[in-house]
Amino acid sequence: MTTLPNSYWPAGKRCAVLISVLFNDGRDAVAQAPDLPQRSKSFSVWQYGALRGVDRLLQTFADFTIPASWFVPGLVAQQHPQRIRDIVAANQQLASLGWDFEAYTTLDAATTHTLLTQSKSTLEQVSGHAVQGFRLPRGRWPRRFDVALQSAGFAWSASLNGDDMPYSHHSGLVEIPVHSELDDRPYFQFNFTPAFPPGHSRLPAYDAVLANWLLEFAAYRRYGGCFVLQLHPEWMGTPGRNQLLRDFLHEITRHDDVWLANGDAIAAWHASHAQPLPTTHPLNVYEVYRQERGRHAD
Amino acid sequence: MIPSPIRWPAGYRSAVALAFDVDGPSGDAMLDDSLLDNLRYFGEGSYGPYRAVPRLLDLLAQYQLHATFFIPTWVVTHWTSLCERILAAGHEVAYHGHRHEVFFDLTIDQQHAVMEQSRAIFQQRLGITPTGFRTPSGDWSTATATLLHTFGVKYSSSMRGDDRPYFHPAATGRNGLVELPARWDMDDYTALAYFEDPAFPSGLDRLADYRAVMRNWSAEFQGYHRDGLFWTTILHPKVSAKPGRLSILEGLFQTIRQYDDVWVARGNDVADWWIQQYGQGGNK
Repeated sequence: MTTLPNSYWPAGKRCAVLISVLFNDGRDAVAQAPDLPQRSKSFSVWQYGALRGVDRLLQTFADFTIPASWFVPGLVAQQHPQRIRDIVAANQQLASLGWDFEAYTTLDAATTHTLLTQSKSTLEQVSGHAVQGFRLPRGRWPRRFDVALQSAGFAWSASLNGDDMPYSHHSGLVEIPVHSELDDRPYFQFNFTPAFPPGHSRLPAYDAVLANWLLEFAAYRRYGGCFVLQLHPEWMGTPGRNQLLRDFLHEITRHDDVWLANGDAIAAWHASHAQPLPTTHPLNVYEVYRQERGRHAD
Repeated sequence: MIPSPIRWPAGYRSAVALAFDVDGPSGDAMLDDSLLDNLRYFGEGSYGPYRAVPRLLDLLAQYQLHATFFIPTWVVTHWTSLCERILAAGHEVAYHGHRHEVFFDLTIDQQHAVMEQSRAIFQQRLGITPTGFRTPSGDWSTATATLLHTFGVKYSSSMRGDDRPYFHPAATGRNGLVELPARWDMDDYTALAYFEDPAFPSGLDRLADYRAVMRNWSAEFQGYHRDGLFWTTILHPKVSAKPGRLSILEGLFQTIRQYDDVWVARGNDVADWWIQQYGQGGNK
């Protein structure tokens, strides 16, 4: 009932693991604090990612043979073409993070389509590889955004939650759900002014973050889920946190029943094995909820 | 060791009522309709009834623990078979508003309407008339306890200010509702809830170390047990029954099961005991 049949994943694997990197080059922070680029000290907190963090993550992934998916805004790919080529040369996969951390709920359909296709084509031109995956950069999920992503040529998204298995939107776009406890940013983001996080929270103990992730991984393996780790070069690509990452990757790579795969592979597997969503799935209940409140299907 | 100040059933030193609030996506954002355009927040809440509760039920069964589930009836209407499974496993289901309304903000007529709607849904969907109530986020108003009494509610688990049951003042007669107080110390939001839109915690504080949370919660139980008191929890499956966090609950359950003189009961069992033992004398 609560554990999925072992046969869901390929070759009898018990669970899937996607290591993802969000290479924002600070555009996420600029979207929240527009004067950040004029604050050279503070902005360098995020610029560290492109300067040092990307290489350190690539080296670490190479040491453990990790097939990660790297989400990159189109603008960042344009500004850092050599970094993008380094990523692809290391057998890593690219996916889109939009153009420049735009909030798609504020954009009309034509602008949305333009930015989505522009992001995809820029990433493809710089890397020389097809791009199928997408991560919503910020803001809320616009109504029927799955259709917008499909018409821009995307096959999957890793933006929503509500589940710990991939699921299919009504359009057929695959969703690989993500969870904040498996994202390094809530644990490690810090800057004085502008304040990240807004409450200037203490940094956590590194061994506590490692322990949380190991407990989550063990549970996903037990329940047969799709574990998605989200890393940022500026937060996890540092020398001091590298051992945390290495200890974690050591654990996930020592089992022969864990399917370590990139987003394209997981989405393709799900697309060919998807069952109809149960009526109790959050995506279906959300539709009923909107109708209850007088919002018509659109 | 000091003797327990409370008379518990023979052989028991303390009482525990494990309690889970299955809020799902209900709450403030549903009440003000901002949830309509926030699929991510809807998904964060719906994960509770959709994925977390079934695993929690398995874990409770593994440790042979019966608990109380406070469920807004909007959740009952959308995850009815899950609620049936909760009841079939021997757990108690009790009132928690319809859409997690803030009773403090409602007139007594509005509170009455919420209770009527909830009672009808519990009766029609699940064939039960609950006897317990936990006020959804925030306070209740001065007239709420009397209102609850007219719906046949015997106990509330809403207050924070004691470590043992007590009687609310009665509108008529000797005693009002039994209160089974809970405390923030055992609310999983304090350590584990995190969301950015809307922001909780407001300063976006870090998530706690799961191992430390397990040790805190176990220490809480052990302190109440040592002193022979009553202990309950404010746990939300969408928060503390996410996959890795089930290890926290499992550690807590293991701690509880190390003691053979703790009475693990549902809220209504404890309320019945309290009325039977102390109903004549009022508060001690």
